[in-house]
Amino acid sequence: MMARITNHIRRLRFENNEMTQEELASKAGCTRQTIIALEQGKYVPSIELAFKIARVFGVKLEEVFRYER
Amino acid sequence: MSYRTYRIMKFVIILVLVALTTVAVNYGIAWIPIPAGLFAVLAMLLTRRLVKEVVVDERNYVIANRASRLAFQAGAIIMAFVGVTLEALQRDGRPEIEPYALTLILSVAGLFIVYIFSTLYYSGKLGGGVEE
Repeated sequence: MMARITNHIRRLRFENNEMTQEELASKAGCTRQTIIALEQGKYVPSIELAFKIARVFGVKLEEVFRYER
Repeated sequence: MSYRTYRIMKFVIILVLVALTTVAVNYGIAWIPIPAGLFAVLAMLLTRRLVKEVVVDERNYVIANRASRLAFQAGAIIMAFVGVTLEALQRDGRPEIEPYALTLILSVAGLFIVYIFSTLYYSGKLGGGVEE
């Protein structure tokens, strides 16, 4: 069975004053293309970037990313 | 400076470099291309430093890593296959092919030597391999 890492970035962006992908990218220190890829589930971030994104939203890592089997 | 402006400037710098090189080749002015190339690289590095946006991130490195691995594997396989085929043809009565066959085979060998040394270098740099 293949394990998958999903995320709630899109939902969290909208819950945070409809933050744009560009804003999130700038705050997390990555490109907008990476945020797009993350939201589409095409890319799994490094632990460092995952923590940065969670910090931008002010939530725990597990609230942004989820490990599913 | 925005990334968009940087890309436009990069494009203009490359256009100027191509124009200068073309003029140099047409008029046989051999000293122009090298300083022009160096100047272009310097100009691009300087303008790149003025960009405040995040331009490259970890995803770009992952993409570059996978693309270079694929390019290496495909290149090595194709070169080895063509090299061996040419070597076989050479032994089959086509001696003029030998330099091409040798060039390809030795290039593949060289590529693997670089690969082995770079793997050793990064293994050491990124740790692992020795139990403590």
